[in-house]
Amino acid sequence: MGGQQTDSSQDERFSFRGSVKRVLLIESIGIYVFLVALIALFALMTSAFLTFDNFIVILRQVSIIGICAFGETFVVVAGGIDLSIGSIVALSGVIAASLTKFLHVPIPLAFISGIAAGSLCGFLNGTLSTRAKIPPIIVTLGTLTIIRGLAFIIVGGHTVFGMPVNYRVLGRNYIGFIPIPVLIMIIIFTVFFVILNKLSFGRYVYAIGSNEEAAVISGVNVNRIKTVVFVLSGLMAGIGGAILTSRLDSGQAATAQGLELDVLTAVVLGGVSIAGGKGRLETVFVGVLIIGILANGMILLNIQHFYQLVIKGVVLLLAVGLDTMRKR
Amino acid sequence: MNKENLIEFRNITKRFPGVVALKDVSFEIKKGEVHALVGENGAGKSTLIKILSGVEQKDEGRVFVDGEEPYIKNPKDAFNLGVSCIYQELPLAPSLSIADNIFLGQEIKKYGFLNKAQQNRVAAESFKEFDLDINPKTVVEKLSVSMQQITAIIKSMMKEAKVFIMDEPTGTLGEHEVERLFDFIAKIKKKNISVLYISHRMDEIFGIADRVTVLKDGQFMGTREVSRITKSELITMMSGKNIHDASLVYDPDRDASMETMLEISNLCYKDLLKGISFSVRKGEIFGLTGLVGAGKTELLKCVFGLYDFDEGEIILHGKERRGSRRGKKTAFDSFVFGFVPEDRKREGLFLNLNISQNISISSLKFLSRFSYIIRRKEVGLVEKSVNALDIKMSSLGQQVQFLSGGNQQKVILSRWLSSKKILLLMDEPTRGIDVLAKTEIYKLMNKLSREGISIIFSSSDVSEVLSISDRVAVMRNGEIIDIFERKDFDKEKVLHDVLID
Repeated sequence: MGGQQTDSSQDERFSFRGSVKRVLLIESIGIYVFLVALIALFALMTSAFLTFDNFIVILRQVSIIGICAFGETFVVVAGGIDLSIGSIVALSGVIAASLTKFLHVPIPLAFISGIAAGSLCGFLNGTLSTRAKIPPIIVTLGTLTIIRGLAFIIVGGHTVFGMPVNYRVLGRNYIGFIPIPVLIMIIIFTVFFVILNKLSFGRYVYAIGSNEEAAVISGVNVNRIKTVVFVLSGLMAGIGGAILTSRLDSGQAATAQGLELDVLTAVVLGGVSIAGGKGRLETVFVGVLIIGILANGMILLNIQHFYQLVIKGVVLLLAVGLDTMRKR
Repeated sequence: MNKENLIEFRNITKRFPGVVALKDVSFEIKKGEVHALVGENGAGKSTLIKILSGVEQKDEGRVFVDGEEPYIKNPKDAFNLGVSCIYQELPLAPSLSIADNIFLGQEIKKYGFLNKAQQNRVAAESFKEFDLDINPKTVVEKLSVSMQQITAIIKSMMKEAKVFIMDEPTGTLGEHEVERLFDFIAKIKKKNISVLYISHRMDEIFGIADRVTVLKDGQFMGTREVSRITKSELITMMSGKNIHDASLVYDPDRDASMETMLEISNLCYKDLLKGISFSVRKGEIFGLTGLVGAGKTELLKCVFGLYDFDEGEIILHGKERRGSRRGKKTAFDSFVFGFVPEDRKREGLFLNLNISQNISISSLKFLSRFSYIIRRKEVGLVEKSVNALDIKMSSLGQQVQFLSGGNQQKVILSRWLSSKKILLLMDEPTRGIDVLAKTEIYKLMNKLSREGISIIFSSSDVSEVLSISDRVAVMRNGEIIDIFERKDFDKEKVLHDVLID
């Protein structure tokens, strides 16, 4: 059995040349190399970079993007896209802030309510994409505006502040030397890693993204799974919103605008194909790290904000471009 | 190089990572001959024609075209040399007319404006040369598939094509259309144009080809005159094994029970199915045949549950009924059946996922505990399937897009084997698959039937359907014209029903 084999003198399974080739061919090696190169670059350019404290700072800065990116990964791998996460983050935050400040709801409950609202938004996205058969990009384009509008309505255009001191715990406190948001990000990563790689649900997500028609024919409940991935994405955005409002110690309807772009950048850097069916969670983590390292490094080097934007975009194109060329 | 030869391959070798696709292949194609190229899936046929048509580059060897040794860098070079490919995806613009398409890129102009009148005239004349009467203003998408193929061929002939490479051209054609295509090929031969014909259909090869070349495992096995070789000799050359006559495919020990497990009653679907009624017994192999467009695929998809039919009922085990879902709930889970689709790539396979994932997708419920997939169970199941169907691959982790068509089909079949379904619906299960793999699929169908699983399968190959089924239904224009019991099987009668109104 087995396919046609070369004769053993050329058998690349055992030669050095073969080993090098196999390493180079690891789907995602490009992005890890890029990460190392970026770290090395900044380490050389400024002494403030390669310290433990700075590393923690970087992780803390990207925790919201990371959490949202893990949720977005599910959606994109399933062949969809969620553009509404920035708005959901804002909505979750203003709900938590308003409940705490005006209705004196206990803080944990207020955060949970915000997160629940996020999941509900996800459910809306999912239902519209499956039942109404509107392409996800259009659905979330619409909901991003609607949800943002709702957030503004809830706070009447003002900023909500003056919550009890404990409001800041979630976003600003540490457990040991790890900031709570970072801990949450790591826990979510672990849980999602298991879901995506070890559970049948994860397998269905890949199948739907790879070939939705074949998935239907194979007996996969496509509508249910597509709805669930949007709920997951909304849930993550809800959690991100809770963390953000806590860190800012205020409820603002205008926050996190454009967050979806950073999240999608991380996801694409992480090798997830926009067409669906391909991508791994661990490389998305690397993508998130790259975004964080880039921003952090540029700040340490005192590069002006607007230049940072340009550099961020160039880096994305470079990283993905080099990776695509290597695969050819 | 011999002046009689249009194409000569000399010592062609081509390697891909991990495999030698072609090894020292040499043979010639004469001018004005129909030269068939045969071999099992994976034998190297596709690679060879990709080299000739400029899609791939050879590693070693030489290619001669009409006395010269050109450097074929890309498909455009090949086209300029007179090498023209006719594949499933025809290079025609469906919404344009026949004349428009033929002159696309080589328009006839008058004072800078399109001279449509002249184009139409010339187009009609070129078809007339082959005794074909057409209206050059007809829009291409309204033509039958064989006429579309002929249009594509005539278009290439305007550019002085010397050889046409046809890869499984009759896949979507009914018998009548195949005849028309073959007539046309016979006529282009007279113009000293050659045809390189790749097909798995023995009947066709013996019907149209002058000579046949056999490839096996990337190596040249021999070229023979078609008139001087028998089908079984050819198959032996291809596989090194002896294959039984197709008529022995039917397993008489199978003995389908008389118990009816499924009844279809007055099924109507748009204007494609008009009151279909029949029943299927437990363990029966029920064949559906008819021309392309008769409604076979639509029937299978309605029974499976993919299409929601308009009227009628499907009754399972005499108890559970499923009617049209308009407003009503389904009485039973549509996916109590398995479905092997006609278009493997578009509807059946997850191309970028590996063999293991493609096979286990329908059985994950049985392989997991609380949703957690038990790898050991999954691997066990997949290995069993791979062995049972003799799927040729380099490893379970190989992506299915790299498998040959026959092995891809086996992967899809394994998916349903392991999922404990009671009825399997198969749409053209052996299309585009080599003879050996076909035999394995027939063996599998017999095995399933012995286990009490019923099969409804469709095939436009009347011989195939008659060789393995217990009963055969002939469809035409959305209706069942006739149902034949095995003891009454008569190929002439069936063909008559299929073709003649």
